[in-house]
Amino acid sequence: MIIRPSDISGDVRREADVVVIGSGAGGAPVAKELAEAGYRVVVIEEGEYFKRQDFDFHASRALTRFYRDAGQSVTLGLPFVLLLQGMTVGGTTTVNSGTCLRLPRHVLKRWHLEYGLRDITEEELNLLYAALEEYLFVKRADPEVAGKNALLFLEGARKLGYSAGFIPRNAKDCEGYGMCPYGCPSGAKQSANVSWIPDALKAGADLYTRCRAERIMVRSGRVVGVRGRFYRPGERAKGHRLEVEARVVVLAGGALQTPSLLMHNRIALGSGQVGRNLSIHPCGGTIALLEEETGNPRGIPQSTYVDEFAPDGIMLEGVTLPPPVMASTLPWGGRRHAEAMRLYPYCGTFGSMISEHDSVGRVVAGPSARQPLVFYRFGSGDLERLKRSFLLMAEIWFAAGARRVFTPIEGFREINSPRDLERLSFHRLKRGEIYGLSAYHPMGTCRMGSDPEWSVVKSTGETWEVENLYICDASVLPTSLGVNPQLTIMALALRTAGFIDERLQSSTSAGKAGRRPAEKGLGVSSKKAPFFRDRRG
Amino acid sequence: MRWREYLQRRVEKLIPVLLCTSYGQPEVDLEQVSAFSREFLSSGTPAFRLLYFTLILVLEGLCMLRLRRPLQSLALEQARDFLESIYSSRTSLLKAVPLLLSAPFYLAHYGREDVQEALGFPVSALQEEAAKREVTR
Ligand SMILES: Cc1cc2nc3c(=O)[nH]c(=O)nc-3n(C[C@H](O)[C@H](O)[C@H](O)COP(=O)(O)OP(=O)(O)OC[C@H]3O[C@@H](n4cnc5c(N)ncnc54)[C@H](O)[C@@H]3O)c2cc1C
Ligand code: SF4
Repeated sequence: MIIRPSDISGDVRREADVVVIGSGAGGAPVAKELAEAGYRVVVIEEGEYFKRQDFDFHASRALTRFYRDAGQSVTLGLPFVLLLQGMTVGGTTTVNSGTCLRLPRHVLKRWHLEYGLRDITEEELNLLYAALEEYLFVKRADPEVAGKNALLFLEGARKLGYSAGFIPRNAKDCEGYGMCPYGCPSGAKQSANVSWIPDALKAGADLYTRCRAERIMVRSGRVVGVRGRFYRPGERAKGHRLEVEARVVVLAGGALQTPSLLMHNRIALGSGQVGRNLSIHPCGGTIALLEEETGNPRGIPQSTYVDEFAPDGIMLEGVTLPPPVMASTLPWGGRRHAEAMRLYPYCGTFGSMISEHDSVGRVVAGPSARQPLVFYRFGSGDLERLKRSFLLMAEIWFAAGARRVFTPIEGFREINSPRDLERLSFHRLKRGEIYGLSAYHPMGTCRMGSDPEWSVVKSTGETWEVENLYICDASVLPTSLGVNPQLTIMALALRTAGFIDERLQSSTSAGKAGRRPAEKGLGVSSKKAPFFRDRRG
Repeated sequence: MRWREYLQRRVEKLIPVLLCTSYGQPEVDLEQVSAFSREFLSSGTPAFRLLYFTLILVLEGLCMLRLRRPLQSLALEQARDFLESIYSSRTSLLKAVPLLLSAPFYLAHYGREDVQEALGFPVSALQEEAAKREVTR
């Protein structure tokens, strides 16, 4: 059942087996799996539940309605990076591009060697990925609806002999409306709001929307529940209270909110790692002026990639920008801006994403738990990688027939010829010379590891310090992944759901309240039972 | 409250200066841009609002420094020329001032259906098409 602030008339107190804070890539799968296993699950989500009809092709309005802080959060440090996160049922998956990539093998190896996470095996992950891909209808983007912008760039990359292709994505019958980051208007994208959450609700979970979890209640080293507050749109005054006593609490508010909540509650801070080790996959974009119309933003916004340089930490991935977003990211103002926007139909866009090697990020408690401060300092190696990504994108655009390419680098805003490219390649990029970077993948701020000295959660997802408090979102990823993270977050979430089930079963057999009989007919596996129990046989 | 209204009025004064349209494109609707900017700023963080209003003061301060006249007293074309001089400055932080200030205006104006349609993105036709076509699991 969905319970909105308008459905309640006073403070709410109740019990549950499991409370999940956050309904995004981490929280939603856990809620669905445990609800289907028969547990009483309560999900608390700060954002609202939007329906397909609310996703109405209006990108500007989408920013103010579906994004945290209207998409205005930036990192502190030069260059500034716009850090976008969703705040709605489905979390950031509701506004993401739908790309579903598996964890690269070398990254898993690093998790084994440096973080002691050997029990997360490749075989297990592959099983989880396969189940997720089936559940989420993951398949490579259909060239028919990929969009001309993407096809042109792909052609350019192939001319240069670079490895490139169509991206696997979680969309069923996608029509290429080009609106994924503003909410899919047809329901094709299998974000958590149309997949995990409806299934969790069907299995009996309760979802409280527009309710912010504020207190995590801990007694004698063990979590015992959560307190939150409802609020209505545009209202400053705090609304009614929600208090849920629970046996297990799953914190899944995302890599910025989760550490902030822990810091404000002063729990699980012993390792000194909460909020540290932030990586964000900084992204930059290029705009190319082409001879022909690109049809933007129609077509799948992120349908193609160039992975030739992935081993060096550079992924090039498609992006299209609807007019208002393009207008607000152009590096010019005034009359020049107006002229540039007139050429919008002839503009191609593509983006790059850097897997960090030497940048340092950290989330610090802000004036309120809602507003943590995010510090991020680019390392010189990553800055160089970023510059290289612009060079590569420009090179590919020229191979695709572009007349001019625009970058956000001061002094190189306009690249007209191979000579300009050469000049940029010799230029030593400084931190203050780049404008308009963005990031979409904050991770690592409550990292998973094998030692409580330097990690916040065990490989099961449970915090080292507070029994039955689990973290299950991007914050547990111990390193930058180099690929879009949602599939890996979901895979770890399914894994964690399995450990929570084990814990609850063992405490039930020790005399605690039992669960309802498991619902049949749902679940991600073909055996139609919750996936983690299938795996255990 | 008064302070907010005062700042909002300053924002409104900036709209025609920062937001230019080119020949043949729909005209700017000041009311619409002002209403969206208000909504955009109020849904964001207090830190962003503070930064935004500080940048308005910086811009006005720059105008006083360079032209010895308040920005509001300049004729529209004069004000736009002043801004062009900032856009072409070599210091990227300086350039960022009007760019950041104009972001909500661009989001508002180019978010209009008729403006998007003039640029080749048929919003209302797509809305109708999508409404007829629901993908179920
Ligand atoms: C524009 C964009 C495009 C992206 N594209 C892709 C892509 O194509 N592929 C991919 O793999 N990744 C993509 N990502 C990233 C991906 O969506 C995120 O990494 C992923 O959703 C993070 O999962 P999470 O569970 O950590 O957090 P989220 O999915 O952000 O969910 C956290 C939820 O918790 C809620 N919450 C937080 N604190 C509280 C609280 N105290 N009380 C109640 N609720 C709370 C939030 O409102 C939010 O809904 C994209 C991101 C963005 C912004
Ligand atoms: S391209 Fe359009 S139809 Fe396809 S998933 Fe994205 S928003 Fe939905």
